[in-house]
Amino acid sequence: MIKLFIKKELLENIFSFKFLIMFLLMFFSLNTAIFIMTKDYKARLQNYDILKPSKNEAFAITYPTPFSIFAHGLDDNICNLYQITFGGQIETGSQKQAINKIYNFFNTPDLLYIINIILSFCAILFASDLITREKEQGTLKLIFSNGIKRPAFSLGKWIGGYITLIIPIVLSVLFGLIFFIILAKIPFQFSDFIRLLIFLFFVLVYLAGFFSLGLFISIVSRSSAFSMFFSLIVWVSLVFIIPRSGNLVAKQFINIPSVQTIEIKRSQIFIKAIFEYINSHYEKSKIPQGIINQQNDKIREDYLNKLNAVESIARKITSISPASDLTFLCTDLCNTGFREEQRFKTFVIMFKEQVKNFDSDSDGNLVGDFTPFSYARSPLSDFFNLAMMLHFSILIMYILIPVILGYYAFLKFDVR
Amino acid sequence: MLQAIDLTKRYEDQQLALDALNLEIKEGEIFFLLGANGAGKTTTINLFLNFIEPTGGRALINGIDVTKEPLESKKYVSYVSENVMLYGNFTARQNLDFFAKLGGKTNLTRDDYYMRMREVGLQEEAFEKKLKTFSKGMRQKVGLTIAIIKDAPNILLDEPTAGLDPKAAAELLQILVNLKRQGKSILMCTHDIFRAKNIADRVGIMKEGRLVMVRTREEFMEDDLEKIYMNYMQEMVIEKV
Repeated sequence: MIKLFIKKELLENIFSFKFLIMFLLMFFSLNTAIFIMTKDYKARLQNYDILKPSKNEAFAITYPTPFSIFAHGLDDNICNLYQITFGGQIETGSQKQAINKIYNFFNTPDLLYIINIILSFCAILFASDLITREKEQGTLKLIFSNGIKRPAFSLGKWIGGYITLIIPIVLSVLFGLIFFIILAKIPFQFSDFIRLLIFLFFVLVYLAGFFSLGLFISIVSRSSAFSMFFSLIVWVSLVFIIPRSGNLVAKQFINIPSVQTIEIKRSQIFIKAIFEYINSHYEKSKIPQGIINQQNDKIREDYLNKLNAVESIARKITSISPASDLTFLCTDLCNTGFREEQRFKTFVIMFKEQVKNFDSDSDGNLVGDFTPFSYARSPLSDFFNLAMMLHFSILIMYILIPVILGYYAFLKFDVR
Repeated sequence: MLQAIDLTKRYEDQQLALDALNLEIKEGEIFFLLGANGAGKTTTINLFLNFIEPTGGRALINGIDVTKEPLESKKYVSYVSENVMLYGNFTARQNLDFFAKLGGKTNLTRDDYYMRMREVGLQEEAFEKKLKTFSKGMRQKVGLTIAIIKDAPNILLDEPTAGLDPKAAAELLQILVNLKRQGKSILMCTHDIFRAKNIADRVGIMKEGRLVMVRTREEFMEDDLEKIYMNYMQEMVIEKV
């Protein structure tokens, strides 16, 4: 009987106008995202080839990952050019980067963004009238005038509706992969495709959560209009309000200094050192490089500790939202997330420790015979950790809770 | 056979929708349940289909208590609603196929569906047309075909002629007469007293949840059914005023 409901759901939806609109929306948005981000990736790769450090250059920079096409995340930060200068200072050379500044105003239109916003909206709205519509058109009464078990109907409805939802997504992503990734000769290895499959798996789990929420709302609503309105409120809360409020709430607990304050503190240390140098009648041995390094390190450490604390609290708060969980999971999987940024910064600091005692030229650039900075992105095995399990569990909860509640609500559902 | 024994329904707001209904509809009998809106006609059907639980009494389909064995009892009943919408994106045949399978008829062929649709007077060119292009009369005919295909011994109809033109309504009622000849028990709720007079074997008039009068064909042909019905309706209006 479940098979019959699945087949009915597929046939009914696939030939509907709603499905056509959803398919076109998904196809164009997903492929536009892949196309734009592929071009962006290629431009950043060219930029990296120009900027990558040669021998005797105290620069730290890494290559952009092709996975930034799917989840751009913090890849601009990770791919920034960092210069180690006099006093062991780490300066970012943002003016040398070819970053698309329009993304500072709007969100980067990567695949993850499209999935997070457009596809989740399609999923919840698509499911929100699946039950109420049947009730309004009277087919629910006709169905249950036969000896049909309610769980068979609700399960068939869930499976059939969900398959209908994911058909356009899978087709669109496959099209995008073939035309923009393979034909554009993006350097994907076999292991990368495994990473991509995991990415798609997370997306399907995420959308199953929104679909289940929509279906649950449809069961507890009296009309399609109310169900759609309520679904919209839930969607806005989960996709926009909670992820954006996490950082604001976290900052209420920890007072983090601004970048300008830190720059002023650094300048004060530097000026003090210069005065000491002048007072010592330009004795080279009096340059207190060690003290400058030490004090700069302390400021950076203090700032990073506070920043990490804010990030940690914000991450916990925003994890309530499945959109945040998907973002954390996918950016970590694509090596463009918090974890990768932390790892990269640790490598930069290690590099700084290696070169900081070299002499500087008149421009403050360090000169000496040191090995250029090199960095390889994290292997896939690093992705599977406790934080990943936590975010994935929350995504699963967003499926299980509405499905279980919906199951019991539908047992008592008034089909009249 | 359909039976109601002291069947009672009181809603949560304490409104008494059905008050100790006693009724028996035998094989090969058409019973018309007449009454104003809110008299309890649809509640009776909803109780027979177990869409709502009775607060007292029992509803039996072929001797099976619908509350105790809802899935088993529904094997023996077909239902036609007031406004058959069905699935607009499906053709008439696809709708039949889906509901026939729900009713346990899994081995029917395309020709079987076509034959049934011809029987109810649907035009050939409509068989493979999407239902959203159908008129209300045509949809009602598809609804009735679904009930016929299930081949259940009992049929419940809730105002099936409402909104139909006289020709379509007459065709629909002729189908009911044919079904009666096949031995089906038919319970039809309606306001349409003239149709009742034409084909009913018995009629019952409901008022405020109570079955206040039952007449056999011979009795209501003798007593002028319209007059009796109008008297009850007038009494109700006066009471309300």
